[in-house]
Amino acid sequence: MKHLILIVVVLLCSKLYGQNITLPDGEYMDTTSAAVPGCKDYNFYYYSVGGKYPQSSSTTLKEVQVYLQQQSITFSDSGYITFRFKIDCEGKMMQRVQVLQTDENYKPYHFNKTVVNELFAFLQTLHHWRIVKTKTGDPVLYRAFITFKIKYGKVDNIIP
Amino acid sequence: MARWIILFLSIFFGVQNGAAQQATGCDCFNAKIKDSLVKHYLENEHMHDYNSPVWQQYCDSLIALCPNIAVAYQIKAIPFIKYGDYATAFPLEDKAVELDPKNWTAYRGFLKCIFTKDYEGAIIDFKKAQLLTPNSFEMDHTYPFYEGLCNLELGNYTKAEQNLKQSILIETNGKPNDSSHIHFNTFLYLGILYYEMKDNAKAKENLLKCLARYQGLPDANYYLAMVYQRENNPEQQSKYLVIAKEWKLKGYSLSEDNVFYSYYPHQVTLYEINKALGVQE
Repeated sequence: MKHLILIVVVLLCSKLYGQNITLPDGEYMDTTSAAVPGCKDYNFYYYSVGGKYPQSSSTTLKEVQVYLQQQSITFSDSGYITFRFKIDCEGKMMQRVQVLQTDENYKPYHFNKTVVNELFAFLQTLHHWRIVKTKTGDPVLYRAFITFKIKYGKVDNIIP
Repeated sequence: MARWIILFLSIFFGVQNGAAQQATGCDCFNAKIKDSLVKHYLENEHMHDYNSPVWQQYCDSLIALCPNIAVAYQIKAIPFIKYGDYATAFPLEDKAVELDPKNWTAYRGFLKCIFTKDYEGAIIDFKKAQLLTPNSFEMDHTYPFYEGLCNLELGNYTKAEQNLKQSILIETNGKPNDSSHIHFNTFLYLGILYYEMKDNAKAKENLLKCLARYQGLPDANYYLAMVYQRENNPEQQSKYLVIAKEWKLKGYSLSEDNVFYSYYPHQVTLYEINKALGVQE
């Protein structure tokens, strides 16, 4: 029984304070990725396919502020937390989401894992990503990102 | 075995020294040589895709040859700034500014204003740029124009108003009544600013001036509709929202080169227009 309690405590702590997955090309929230069959990758980026998240930064900002208020998270850091990922042919965010973090002077930095996890959870609530097709009608995936600009522990803006 | 290692190291360091001599042999302070190097390394037919590894290789080659060429760092940073890697992008931008502040300080301010929404940082850069290259332009706009956008977003409305009026003075070369040279987005942001300041009359005046130059600009139509909403004029509100939606659906937008990469301050999308029209997504 004691061992069971210990395992539960360790698991809970690892969720709250554990590290992201570090690979040679960066830090990730997850690593597996399953491509949708027939969904081709022509190395497109959001900017060449009109793929910015289709609502203004201020609308998304209001949504994330409400979301974080409900989670009752308190912290005081400033900086940028960026999630980079691919959007598949059905307009869904694929796994293997890279996370980049800097302080407000753009120097590498690590926010509390709980903060990163909550912002990642919010990111997964964004369901209106554009579905992109080529001129011939072939569905294609593209690379996109969302950055949360944080000032004194509050999300202050959304990029792009 | 030891002899072979010594021989290998001697050859290796010999080659390295030769390369360094070749690099130092190049006069990196000669303007003509610098121009020709930039043309050769940064303006060749291979430099068309900034996400290609070739892009970085050409930049790195030029930096290795002449580490004092500012534009090499700025060009190298492009793919990073556009895909959210600020820890890589900004040291490169900082290096470009350090080497050539006259050319790159305002550009870095622009990146902070439009890309990373670091409005305080952008204002600092634009103030420095104004001292270095007074009354110049960056990406089609004056430095006070961008300061105005930053102060608008920071809620410093009085300062924003001063900035945008200063921009008009520069745009018209000191003749603000000659409005033919004023950019429609200067009027747009003055209109948005007065909307935020709850000065409906001035908001309408400036948004209509903007629309006189670019009648379909969705953002100007949207904010004009918002002014009419505040005035409890549902007919005019609906009229301008419908126009905003029509032009948005035709693909019209702020008409800024970098609008593909980042939303501009206060920019709206079809989502906000539909929401104001009461259309469920």
